[in-house]
Amino acid sequence: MNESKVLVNSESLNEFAEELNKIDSALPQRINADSKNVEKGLAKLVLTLVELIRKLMEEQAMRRIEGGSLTDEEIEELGETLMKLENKMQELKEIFGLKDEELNLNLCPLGDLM
Amino acid sequence: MKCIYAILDSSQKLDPVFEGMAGSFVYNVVYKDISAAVSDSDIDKSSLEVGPECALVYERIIEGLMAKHTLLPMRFGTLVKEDNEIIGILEKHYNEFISNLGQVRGKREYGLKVLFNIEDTGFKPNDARGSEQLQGVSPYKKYLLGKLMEHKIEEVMMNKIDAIIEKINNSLGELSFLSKFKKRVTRKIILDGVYLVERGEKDIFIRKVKELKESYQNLKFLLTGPWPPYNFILPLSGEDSYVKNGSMN
Repeated sequence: MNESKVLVNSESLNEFAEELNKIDSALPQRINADSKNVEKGLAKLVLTLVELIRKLMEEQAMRRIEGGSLTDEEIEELGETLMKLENKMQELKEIFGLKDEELNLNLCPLGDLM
Repeated sequence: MKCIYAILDSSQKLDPVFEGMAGSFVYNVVYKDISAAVSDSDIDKSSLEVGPECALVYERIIEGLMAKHTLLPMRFGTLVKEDNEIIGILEKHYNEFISNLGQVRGKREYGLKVLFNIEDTGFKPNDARGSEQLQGVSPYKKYLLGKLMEHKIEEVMMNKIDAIIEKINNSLGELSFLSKFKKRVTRKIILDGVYLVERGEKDIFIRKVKELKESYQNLKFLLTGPWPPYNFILPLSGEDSYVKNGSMN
Protein backbone atom coordinates (compact mmCIF):
# COMPACT_ATOMS: atom_id res chain seq x y z
CA MET A 1 0.00 0.00 0.00
CA ASN A 2 1.15 3.53 -0.72
CA GLU A 3 2.72 4.79 2.53
CA SER A 4 0.86 8.09 2.22
CA LYS A 5 -2.46 6.23 2.58
CA VAL A 6 -1.53 4.92 6.01
CA LEU A 7 -2.69 7.61 8.42
CA VAL A 8 -2.55 5.86 11.80
CA ASN A 9 -0.61 2.70 12.32
CA SER A 10 0.23 0.70 15.43
CA GLU A 11 3.47 -0.51 13.81
CA SER A 12 1.94 -3.86 12.99
CA LEU A 13 1.31 -3.79 9.24
CA ASN A 14 2.60 -7.35 8.87
CA GLU A 15 0.13 -8.63 11.44
CA PHE A 16 -2.74 -6.91 9.62
CA ALA A 17 -1.54 -8.28 6.28
CA GLU A 18 -1.40 -11.79 7.73
CA GLU A 19 -4.96 -11.54 9.03
CA LEU A 20 -6.26 -10.10 5.77
CA ASN A 21 -4.69 -12.99 3.88
CA LYS A 22 -6.86 -15.31 5.96
CA ILE A 23 -9.96 -13.58 4.59
CA ASP A 24 -8.60 -14.03 1.08
CA SER A 25 -8.07 -17.74 1.45
CA ALA A 26 -11.72 -18.21 2.46
CA LEU A 27 -13.06 -16.29 -0.55
CA PRO A 28 -14.38 -18.15 -3.59
CA GLN A 29 -11.41 -18.82 -5.85
CA ARG A 30 -11.41 -19.19 -9.60
CA ILE A 31 -11.75 -22.83 -10.50
CA ASN A 32 -8.46 -24.47 -11.35
CA ALA A 33 -9.42 -27.75 -12.91
CA ASP A 34 -6.18 -29.69 -12.82
CA SER A 35 -6.60 -33.00 -10.95
CA LYS A 36 -4.43 -32.11 -7.93
CA ASN A 37 -6.37 -28.89 -7.22
CA VAL A 38 -9.76 -30.47 -7.75
CA GLU A 39 -8.93 -33.01 -5.04
CA LYS A 40 -7.77 -30.31 -2.63
CA GLY A 41 -10.78 -28.12 -3.44
CA LEU A 42 -13.14 -31.00 -2.72
CA ALA A 43 -11.32 -31.83 0.51
CA LYS A 44 -11.58 -28.20 1.55
CA LEU A 45 -15.32 -28.16 0.96
CA VAL A 46 -15.92 -31.43 2.78
CA LEU A 47 -13.68 -30.55 5.73
CA THR A 48 -15.29 -27.10 6.01
CA LEU A 49 -18.67 -28.75 6.41
CA VAL A 50 -17.31 -31.29 8.88
CA GLU A 51 -15.67 -28.46 10.85
CA LEU A 52 -18.99 -26.62 10.95
CA ILE A 53 -20.76 -29.69 12.31
CA ARG A 54 -17.96 -30.28 14.82
CA LYS A 55 -18.21 -26.72 16.13
CA LEU A 56 -21.99 -26.95 16.37
CA MET A 57 -21.70 -30.23 18.30
CA GLU A 58 -19.11 -28.64 20.58
CA GLU A 59 -21.36 -25.66 21.31
CA GLN A 60 -24.29 -27.93 21.92
CA ALA A 61 -22.17 -29.95 24.36
CA MET A 62 -21.11 -26.73 26.20
CA ARG A 63 -24.74 -25.68 26.57
CA ARG A 64 -25.77 -29.06 27.89
CA ILE A 65 -22.92 -29.19 30.40
CA GLU A 66 -23.77 -25.67 31.62
CA GLY A 67 -27.43 -26.63 31.78
CA GLY A 68 -26.55 -29.70 33.86
CA SER A 69 -28.34 -32.09 31.54
CA LEU A 70 -25.40 -34.45 31.01
CA THR A 71 -24.29 -37.23 33.33
CA ASP A 72 -20.60 -37.79 34.05
CA GLU A 73 -20.64 -40.77 31.73
CA GLU A 74 -22.17 -38.72 28.93
CA ILE A 75 -19.58 -35.98 29.41
CA GLU A 76 -16.87 -38.62 29.21
CA GLU A 77 -18.32 -40.12 26.03
CA LEU A 78 -18.90 -36.78 24.37
CA GLY A 79 -15.41 -35.65 25.32
CA GLU A 80 -13.91 -38.75 23.73
CA THR A 81 -15.91 -38.29 20.52
CA LEU A 82 -15.11 -34.62 20.13
CA MET A 83 -11.45 -35.02 21.04
CA LYS A 84 -10.96 -37.81 18.52
CA LEU A 85 -12.86 -35.83 15.91
CA GLU A 86 -10.65 -32.79 16.46
CA ASN A 87 -7.50 -34.90 16.22
CA LYS A 88 -8.72 -36.57 13.03
CA MET A 89 -9.55 -33.19 11.50
CA GLN A 90 -6.04 -32.01 12.31
CA GLU A 91 -4.64 -35.08 10.55
CA LEU A 92 -6.76 -34.53 7.47
CA LYS A 93 -5.87 -30.85 7.30
CA GLU A 94 -2.20 -31.79 7.32
CA ILE A 95 -2.69 -34.42 4.62
CA PHE A 96 -4.39 -31.94 2.31
CA GLY A 97 -2.17 -29.02 3.28
CA LEU A 98 -5.07 -26.93 4.58
CA LYS A 99 -4.84 -24.25 7.25
CA ASP A 100 -7.54 -23.57 9.85
CA GLU A 101 -8.53 -20.27 8.26
CA GLU A 102 -9.09 -21.94 4.89
CA LEU A 103 -11.94 -23.98 6.27
CA ASN A 104 -14.60 -21.37 5.72
CA LEU A 105 -17.04 -20.47 2.99
CA ASN A 106 -17.99 -16.99 1.91
CA LEU A 107 -21.72 -16.88 1.35
CA CYS A 108 -21.49 -13.35 -0.15
CA PRO A 109 -24.42 -11.29 1.16
CA LEU A 110 -24.80 -13.61 4.16
CA GLY A 111 -21.15 -13.30 5.15
CA ASP A 112 -18.84 -16.13 6.11
CA LEU A 113 -20.19 -19.54 7.11
CA MET A 114 -18.08 -19.58 10.27
CA MET B 1 -15.20 -2.53 -25.79
CA LYS B 2 -15.38 0.36 -23.38
CA CYS B 3 -14.18 0.16 -19.84
CA ILE B 4 -16.19 2.32 -17.43
CA TYR B 5 -14.25 3.66 -14.45
CA ALA B 6 -16.63 6.00 -12.71
CA ILE B 7 -19.70 8.19 -12.92
CA LEU B 8 -18.66 11.84 -12.66
CA ASP B 9 -20.49 14.81 -11.27
CA SER B 10 -19.57 16.81 -14.38
CA SER B 11 -20.53 17.31 -17.99
CA GLN B 12 -17.27 19.02 -18.96
CA LYS B 13 -15.07 17.12 -21.37
CA LEU B 14 -12.11 15.47 -19.70
CA ASP B 15 -8.63 16.43 -20.83
CA PRO B 16 -6.75 13.42 -22.18
CA VAL B 17 -4.36 13.06 -19.28
CA PHE B 18 -5.12 9.63 -17.89
CA GLU B 19 -4.08 6.53 -19.72
CA GLY B 20 -6.65 3.77 -19.47
CA MET B 21 -6.31 0.02 -18.98
CA ALA B 22 -5.37 -0.75 -22.58
CA GLY B 23 -3.29 2.32 -23.20
CA SER B 24 -5.91 4.63 -24.70
CA PHE B 25 -6.82 7.85 -22.94
CA VAL B 26 -9.72 8.17 -20.54
CA TYR B 27 -12.53 10.34 -21.86
CA ASN B 28 -16.07 10.93 -20.70
CA VAL B 29 -19.46 10.20 -22.20
CA VAL B 30 -21.87 12.94 -21.16
CA TYR B 31 -25.57 12.78 -20.31
CA LYS B 32 -27.19 15.95 -18.97
CA ASP B 33 -25.01 17.12 -16.07
CA ILE B 34 -23.22 13.86 -15.38
CA SER B 35 -20.85 11.70 -17.36
CA ALA B 36 -19.13 8.34 -17.35
CA ALA B 37 -15.33 8.18 -17.44
CA VAL B 38 -14.36 5.49 -19.94
CA SER B 39 -11.55 4.30 -22.14
CA ASP B 40 -11.45 2.11 -25.20
CA SER B 41 -10.29 -1.41 -24.67
CA ASP B 42 -9.55 -4.25 -27.01
CA ILE B 43 -10.02 -6.87 -24.28
CA ASP B 44 -13.23 -8.63 -23.33
CA LYS B 45 -14.37 -9.62 -19.85
CA SER B 46 -13.15 -13.20 -20.10
CA SER B 47 -9.58 -12.15 -20.84
CA LEU B 48 -9.49 -9.17 -18.48
CA GLU B 49 -6.62 -9.88 -16.16
CA VAL B 50 -7.55 -9.58 -12.51
CA GLY B 51 -4.31 -8.97 -10.70
CA PRO B 52 -2.46 -6.43 -8.57
CA GLU B 53 -0.97 -4.54 -11.53
CA CYS B 54 -4.30 -3.99 -13.25
CA ALA B 55 -5.96 -3.15 -9.96
CA LEU B 56 -3.32 -0.52 -9.27
CA VAL B 57 -3.72 1.01 -12.73
CA TYR B 58 -7.46 1.12 -12.18
CA GLU B 59 -7.02 2.67 -8.75
CA ARG B 60 -4.62 5.29 -10.11
CA ILE B 61 -7.19 6.36 -12.69
CA ILE B 62 -9.99 6.56 -10.12
CA GLU B 63 -7.84 8.54 -7.69
CA GLY B 64 -6.70 10.89 -10.43
CA LEU B 65 -10.31 11.59 -11.37
CA MET B 66 -11.27 11.93 -7.72
CA ALA B 67 -8.77 14.76 -7.26
CA LYS B 68 -10.92 16.96 -9.51
CA HIS B 69 -14.42 15.43 -9.50
CA THR B 70 -17.06 13.98 -7.26
CA LEU B 71 -17.42 10.44 -8.51
CA LEU B 72 -18.96 7.03 -8.03
CA PRO B 73 -16.32 4.40 -8.80
CA MET B 74 -17.44 1.45 -10.88
CA ARG B 75 -16.52 -2.13 -10.12
CA PHE B 76 -13.28 -3.22 -11.74
CA GLY B 77 -13.93 -4.73 -15.15
CA THR B 78 -17.17 -2.95 -16.00
CA LEU B 79 -17.22 -3.31 -19.77
CA VAL B 80 -19.77 -2.35 -22.40
CA LYS B 81 -19.65 -2.44 -26.19
CA GLU B 82 -20.41 1.11 -27.27
CA ASP B 83 -20.93 4.69 -26.12
CA ASN B 84 -24.68 4.32 -26.78
CA GLU B 85 -24.91 1.69 -24.10
CA ILE B 86 -23.22 4.06 -21.68
CA ILE B 87 -25.76 6.78 -22.50
CA GLY B 88 -28.48 4.22 -21.88
CA ILE B 89 -27.06 3.42 -18.44
CA LEU B 90 -26.73 7.09 -17.51
CA GLU B 91 -30.27 7.77 -18.68
CA LYS B 92 -31.81 4.78 -16.94
CA HIS B 93 -30.11 5.44 -13.59
CA TYR B 94 -29.81 9.21 -13.79
CA ASN B 95 -31.82 9.99 -10.66
CA GLU B 96 -30.01 7.33 -8.65
CA PHE B 97 -26.61 8.61 -9.76
CA ILE B 98 -27.58 12.21 -8.94
CA SER B 99 -28.75 11.18 -5.48
CA ASN B 100 -25.65 9.11 -4.78
CA LEU B 101 -23.29 11.81 -6.10
CA GLY B 102 -25.01 14.28 -3.80
CA GLN B 103 -24.42 11.98 -0.89
CA VAL B 104 -20.67 11.60 -1.47
CA ARG B 105 -19.96 15.14 -2.67
CA GLY B 106 -17.21 16.83 -0.65
CA LYS B 107 -16.44 13.69 1.31
CA ARG B 108 -13.83 10.93 1.37
CA GLU B 109 -13.83 7.37 2.58
CA TYR B 110 -11.50 6.20 5.35
CA GLY B 111 -10.93 2.61 6.39
CA LEU B 112 -10.20 1.53 9.94
CA LYS B 113 -9.14 -1.91 11.05
CA VAL B 114 -8.63 -2.75 14.70
CA LEU B 115 -6.72 -5.82 15.73
CA PHE B 116 -6.86 -7.56 19.10
CA ASN B 117 -4.61 -10.47 19.95
CA ILE B 118 -6.14 -12.35 22.86
CA GLU B 119 -2.75 -13.89 23.63
CA ASP B 120 -1.38 -10.38 24.35
CA THR B 121 -3.50 -10.40 27.50
CA GLY B 122 -1.68 -13.51 28.71
CA PHE B 123 -4.57 -15.81 27.85
CA LYS B 124 -3.49 -18.95 26.02
CA PRO B 125 -5.91 -21.45 24.51
CA ASN B 126 -5.48 -24.87 26.14
CA ASP B 127 -4.20 -23.24 29.35
CA ALA B 128 -7.61 -23.88 30.91
CA ARG B 129 -7.13 -27.60 30.39
CA GLY B 130 -4.15 -27.54 32.73
CA SER B 131 -5.99 -25.73 35.50
CA GLU B 132 -6.20 -27.10 39.03
CA GLN B 133 -9.94 -27.63 38.76
CA LEU B 134 -9.32 -30.29 36.15
CA GLN B 135 -6.61 -32.20 38.02
CA GLY B 136 -7.40 -35.88 38.45
CA VAL B 137 -10.07 -35.81 35.78
CA SER B 138 -10.02 -38.29 32.89
CA PRO B 139 -8.43 -37.04 29.64
CA TYR B 140 -11.76 -36.94 27.74
CA LYS B 141 -13.59 -35.13 30.49
CA LYS B 142 -10.62 -32.78 30.89
CA TYR B 143 -10.77 -32.02 27.14
CA LEU B 144 -14.44 -31.10 27.21
CA LEU B 145 -14.44 -29.24 30.52
CA GLY B 146 -11.27 -27.45 29.46
CA LYS B 147 -13.00 -26.35 26.25
CA LEU B 148 -15.91 -25.08 28.32
CA MET B 149 -13.59 -23.00 30.50
CA GLU B 150 -11.85 -21.56 27.44
CA HIS B 151 -15.18 -20.68 25.88
CA LYS B 152 -16.30 -18.90 29.03
CA ILE B 153 -13.09 -16.92 29.34
CA GLU B 154 -13.18 -15.98 25.67
CA GLU B 155 -16.83 -15.06 25.92
CA VAL B 156 -16.19 -12.65 28.79
CA MET B 157 -13.27 -11.15 26.94
CA MET B 158 -15.24 -10.83 23.70
CA ASN B 159 -18.16 -9.18 25.48
CA LYS B 160 -15.72 -6.56 26.75
CA ILE B 161 -14.25 -6.23 23.28
CA ASP B 162 -17.73 -5.80 21.80
CA ALA B 163 -18.38 -2.95 24.22
CA ILE B 164 -15.10 -1.32 23.15
CA ILE B 165 -15.97 -1.75 19.48
CA GLU B 166 -19.29 0.00 20.07
CA LYS B 167 -17.51 2.90 21.80
CA ILE B 168 -14.93 3.24 19.02
CA ASN B 169 -17.56 3.09 16.32
CA ASN B 170 -19.87 5.54 18.08
CA SER B 171 -17.00 8.03 18.54
CA LEU B 172 -16.04 7.85 14.90
CA GLY B 173 -19.61 7.65 13.70
CA GLU B 174 -20.27 11.06 15.25
CA LEU B 175 -17.53 12.53 13.06
CA SER B 176 -18.71 10.79 9.88
CA PHE B 177 -21.50 11.51 7.46
CA LEU B 178 -22.03 7.77 7.07
CA SER B 179 -20.31 4.70 8.42
CA LYS B 180 -20.43 0.94 8.14
CA PHE B 181 -18.59 -1.67 10.10
CA LYS B 182 -18.20 -5.37 10.61
CA LYS B 183 -17.19 -7.02 13.88
CA ARG B 184 -14.71 -9.89 14.15
CA VAL B 185 -14.00 -10.47 10.48
CA THR B 186 -11.16 -12.77 11.60
CA ARG B 187 -10.15 -14.03 15.02
CA LYS B 188 -7.90 -10.99 15.48
CA ILE B 189 -9.46 -8.25 13.33
CA ILE B 190 -12.25 -7.23 15.67
CA LEU B 191 -13.40 -4.16 13.77
CA ASP B 192 -13.39 -3.45 10.05
CA GLY B 193 -15.04 -0.09 9.51
CA VAL B 194 -15.42 2.43 6.70
CA TYR B 195 -16.32 6.05 7.32
CA LEU B 196 -17.48 8.74 4.90
CA VAL B 197 -15.99 11.95 6.24
CA GLU B 198 -16.36 15.57 5.12
CA ARG B 199 -13.09 16.81 3.67
CA GLY B 200 -12.92 19.57 6.24
CA GLU B 201 -13.27 17.07 9.11
CA LYS B 202 -10.33 14.92 8.08
CA ASP B 203 -7.85 16.20 10.67
CA ILE B 204 -10.36 15.94 13.52
CA PHE B 205 -11.17 12.40 12.44
CA ILE B 206 -7.52 11.34 12.35
CA ARG B 207 -6.91 12.98 15.72
CA LYS B 208 -9.83 11.04 17.20
CA VAL B 209 -8.45 7.74 15.92
CA LYS B 210 -5.06 8.58 17.48
CA GLU B 211 -6.78 9.35 20.80
CA LEU B 212 -8.59 6.02 20.67
CA LYS B 213 -5.30 4.26 19.91
CA GLU B 214 -3.78 5.84 23.02
CA SER B 215 -6.80 4.89 25.12
CA TYR B 216 -6.80 1.25 24.11
CA GLN B 217 -3.23 0.07 24.43
CA ASN B 218 -4.14 -3.59 23.93
CA LEU B 219 -5.58 -2.85 20.50
CA LYS B 220 -3.77 -2.16 17.23
CA PHE B 221 -5.18 0.40 14.84
CA LEU B 222 -4.73 0.81 11.09
CA LEU B 223 -6.38 3.85 9.54
CA THR B 224 -6.04 4.36 5.78
CA GLY B 225 -7.35 6.82 3.26
CA PRO B 226 -8.61 8.89 1.72
CA TRP B 227 -10.22 6.46 -0.69
CA PRO B 228 -12.89 6.83 -3.38
CA PRO B 229 -16.29 6.08 -1.84
CA TYR B 230 -16.30 2.39 -2.82
CA ASN B 231 -18.34 1.34 0.17
CA PHE B 232 -20.94 4.08 -0.11
CA ILE B 233 -22.22 3.34 -3.57
CA LEU B 234 -25.95 2.73 -3.47
CA PRO B 235 -27.21 -0.40 -5.27
CA LEU B 236 -28.89 0.35 -8.57
CA SER B 237 -32.39 -0.73 -9.45
CA GLY B 238 -32.96 -3.07 -12.39
CA GLU B 239 -31.04 -5.86 -14.02
CA ASP B 240 -27.95 -4.13 -15.36
CA SER B 241 -25.41 -6.72 -14.27
CA TYR B 242 -22.58 -4.75 -15.81
CA VAL B 243 -23.18 -1.82 -13.51
CA LYS B 244 -23.37 -3.76 -10.22
CA ASN B 245 -21.19 -1.89 -7.84
CA GLY B 246 -19.27 -2.53 -4.71
CA SER B 247 -20.41 -2.51 -1.12
CA MET B 248 -19.05 -3.76 2.17
CA ASN B 249 -21.20 -6.84 1.72
